[in-house]
Amino acid sequence: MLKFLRALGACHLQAATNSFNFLCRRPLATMTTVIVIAIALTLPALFWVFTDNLGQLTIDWQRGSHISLYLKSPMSPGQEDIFLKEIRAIDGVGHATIKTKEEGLNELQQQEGMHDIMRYLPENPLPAVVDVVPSLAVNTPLKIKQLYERLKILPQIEQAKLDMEWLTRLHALLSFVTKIAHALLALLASAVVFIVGNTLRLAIHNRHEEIQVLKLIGATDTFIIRPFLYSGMWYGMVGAIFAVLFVNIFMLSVSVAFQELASVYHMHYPLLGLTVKQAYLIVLVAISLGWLGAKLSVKRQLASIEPYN
Amino acid sequence: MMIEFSQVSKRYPGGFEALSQVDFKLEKGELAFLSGHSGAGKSTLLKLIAKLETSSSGQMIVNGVHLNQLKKHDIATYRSGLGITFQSPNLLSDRSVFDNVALPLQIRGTTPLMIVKRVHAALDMVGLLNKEKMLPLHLSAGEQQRVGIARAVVHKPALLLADEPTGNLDPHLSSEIMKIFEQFNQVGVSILIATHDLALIARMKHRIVMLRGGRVC
Repeated sequence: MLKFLRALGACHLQAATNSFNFLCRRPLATMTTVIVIAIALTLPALFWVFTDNLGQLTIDWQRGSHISLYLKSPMSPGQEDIFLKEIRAIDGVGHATIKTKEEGLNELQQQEGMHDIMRYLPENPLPAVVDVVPSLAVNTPLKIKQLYERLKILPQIEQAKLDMEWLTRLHALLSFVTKIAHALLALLASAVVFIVGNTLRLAIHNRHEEIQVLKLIGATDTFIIRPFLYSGMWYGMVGAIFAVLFVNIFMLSVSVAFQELASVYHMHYPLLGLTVKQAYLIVLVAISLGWLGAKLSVKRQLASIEPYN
Repeated sequence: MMIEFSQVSKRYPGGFEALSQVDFKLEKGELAFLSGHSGAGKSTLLKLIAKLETSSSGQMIVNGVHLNQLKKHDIATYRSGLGITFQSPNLLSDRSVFDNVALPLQIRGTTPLMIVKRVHAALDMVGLLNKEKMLPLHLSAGEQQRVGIARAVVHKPALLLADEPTGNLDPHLSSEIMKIFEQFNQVGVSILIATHDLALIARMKHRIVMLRGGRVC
């Protein structure tokens, strides 16, 4: 068993190195294919980075969504403090501040024309309001809604108001962009499969004689296909490495312009490139696509080649 | 028995009958020549043995394998047990002599150390050990033929098939090649050589099977 595995390992190692050497001997043709694959992979990878950055950005923007809790009966300052502590202890609450009746009235009186109206009122009609900003972990409309439902049923609360319309819109937009990215990914992934398949179809055509000789001396289809499968995997791997490089170069060049734009809006937001994990994933996916492209095109074509004498 | 043909016929799609009702045997460890004019059916017979063609009728048993019952996916394994060499040695021009000879061992998953040992032994037998790093195109026709023979025997096949192995060689080189085949035969390899060079084989003391118009005579 060990001997068999060792022999199989030697076979694979040889197929991998042979196919690599074969590709290296034709640098121009190999590079052309690799660059085409790299461009096909760069597009969805860029979209990925783009949606990632947008996702990060919305975490900051989320602070804009908040819940207002209008309290029922007047509370003493001590009771208000205790209630505020209770609210802050609730899971999902990031930040909570109280606006007392008096503060509310002062704010209202400062608005144009309101001062006179307020004077005719016998007493302050405004309730105390607790302003709740959700924590960072509460980052979807659904989670915010859940938090809202939970706060609404507290006995001290008369009414609760949730301001999240624009957040829902943003999320809808984000999921739309993500769906486009997925569709693009599927489209360009199949492009990689076809590029590799077509390149290897030509390679098989060029190595027709060699395959005939191999079949003549009793090589199995698995043995003949193996170097082609490795070629497909090499194409995928090198193409993906170039794609990762392209994406990061692109992000670097864009980040300078982006920072300038952000500073105009008084924002500081660092653009993210591909993470190491994402880069690994792209390489792994590309290797699998290369393998698939090779497998689909080679097996069918091999059956049509028969040895002669 | 190494090869046993009974009532084997081969008719090509166009209607041409290359072999008709051939009865033929080759003992284990025997060296025999297959001779006759061009078109007599020599190549067809070798192709049938190598399973490069299928017979129209008749029974063929080679080294215990019933060729008519051989499944498609078993053909490669069957062929890897044979040694085959042709008039054109079919070498891979982009690989060195060593790599060409190593091919049958590589497809069997032989370890690299053993490959070096066996290839050197095979190249030594055909007298080309000093040219292992060269590309086939840099060798003479006779040398290329010898590389083809080394590739056919490197994995120690039980049966060696040679189709016109001396076809484009001068008489001196031809007899040298034949001597190499005799050496292999002495170590127990069964060999069937198809050739029309009657003058050459007449000098050697081995059985000659004559084919004429697709029949053994």
